[in-house]
Amino acid sequence: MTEPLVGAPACAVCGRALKLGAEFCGGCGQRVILAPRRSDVRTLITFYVTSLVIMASAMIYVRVTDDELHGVIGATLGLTVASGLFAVQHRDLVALPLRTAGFSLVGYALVVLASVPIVLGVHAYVGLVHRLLGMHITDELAVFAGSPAWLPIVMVVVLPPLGEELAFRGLIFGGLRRSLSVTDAFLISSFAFAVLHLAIPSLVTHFPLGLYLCWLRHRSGSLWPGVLAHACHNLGICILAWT
Amino acid sequence: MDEGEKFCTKCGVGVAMSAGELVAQDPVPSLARLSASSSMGTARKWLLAISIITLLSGFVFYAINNSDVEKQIREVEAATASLDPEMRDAMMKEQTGMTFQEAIDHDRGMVKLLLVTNIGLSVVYFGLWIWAKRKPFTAAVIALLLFLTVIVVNAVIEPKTLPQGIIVKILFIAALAKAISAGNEERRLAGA
Repeated sequence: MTEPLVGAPACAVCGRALKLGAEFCGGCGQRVILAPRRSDVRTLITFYVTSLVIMASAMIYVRVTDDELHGVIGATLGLTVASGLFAVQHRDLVALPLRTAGFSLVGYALVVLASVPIVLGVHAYVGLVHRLLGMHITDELAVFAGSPAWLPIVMVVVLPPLGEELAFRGLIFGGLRRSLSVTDAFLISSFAFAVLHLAIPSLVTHFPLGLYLCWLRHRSGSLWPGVLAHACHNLGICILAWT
Repeated sequence: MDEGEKFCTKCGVGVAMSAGELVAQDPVPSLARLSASSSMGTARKWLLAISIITLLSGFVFYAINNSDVEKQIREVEAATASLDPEMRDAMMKEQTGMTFQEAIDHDRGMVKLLLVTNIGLSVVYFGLWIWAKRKPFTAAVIALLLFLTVIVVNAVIEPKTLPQGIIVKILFIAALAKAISAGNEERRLAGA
């Protein structure tokens, strides 16, 4: 038996609660083509533009002051705070996925294991692109040189996975899933996640990564497996940079 | 089927539904469908146009940037010709973390990266143009997010790009916004 879609509108004709994935109402046979709620689309676009403004402000700050460290810290904190505020405003979308563990311990262990080939794949792709273009590979953690060791851990491994999972898999995927098909919600939220990293070549790695994180969210019904996978990915990138 | 269901939730066929009832089931008013289809048609044309413009401008900017970088390299080579190569590498390494040759390769690589980025963007817009026929709403939302991002990133890297082609930018955003709104409306009417 399929679960009714939490928070979804009832059938406009007979009022019966609509099931997840139903294309027709089981009560009256009315075709169900759910209109994306204006508020869902507006939330997506407002959050996305807010994030873009935060990233752009940080980039402008770095260009003006040449202070990359504080630019990175500002962008990370800004995005995390924005995600938190949007999550509070739309807590109906994130409350349940935050309260649910989703997977068993074995499931979480598999998520950690899966991050190893993912990190190695991303690292190989970045190396390949740089070699093909004859470019010098820049150390992404060079900005934290001279800082205490906890700073890159917090700014790369802890805060971005929390903020981005809350935003892209919690708010955006959750909001779109209320009114779009699973495939459409997967594609839009993953694409938004990939594009917001502001590097077109990284679409090749971040779009599939976004799809994987969406799948974790959808499969488990929880945000935490995605947070763990995202954190493992970022930690892996850090370890490769350090070594 | 679940208890109490009189119709299949996948195909809409009911136990007591006649063929006539099935035919009469299409709930989308034709005018709304026509309007949404027209808006999406316009947005699709814009997607194709933006794809072509991005590709062409990518090659134009590649030619301009390539010429600028080669000129700069010649100037730097001339200015540092009297220096010992090892000393020159040491100075460059201290300033940029790269040797002289690595810095030249890096600059040339950045120009190529810009070309690859524009080709990639063009391919994505072209893919969205094709995909918009099947999934107009999703394609329009993705295109809008991508286009806004490109405008913002370009404006931060080079502020003078913001007013460049401003009319095309406004028209494209308006076409996508209209397509999203029309797609929304079509879905709303279909579900009503």
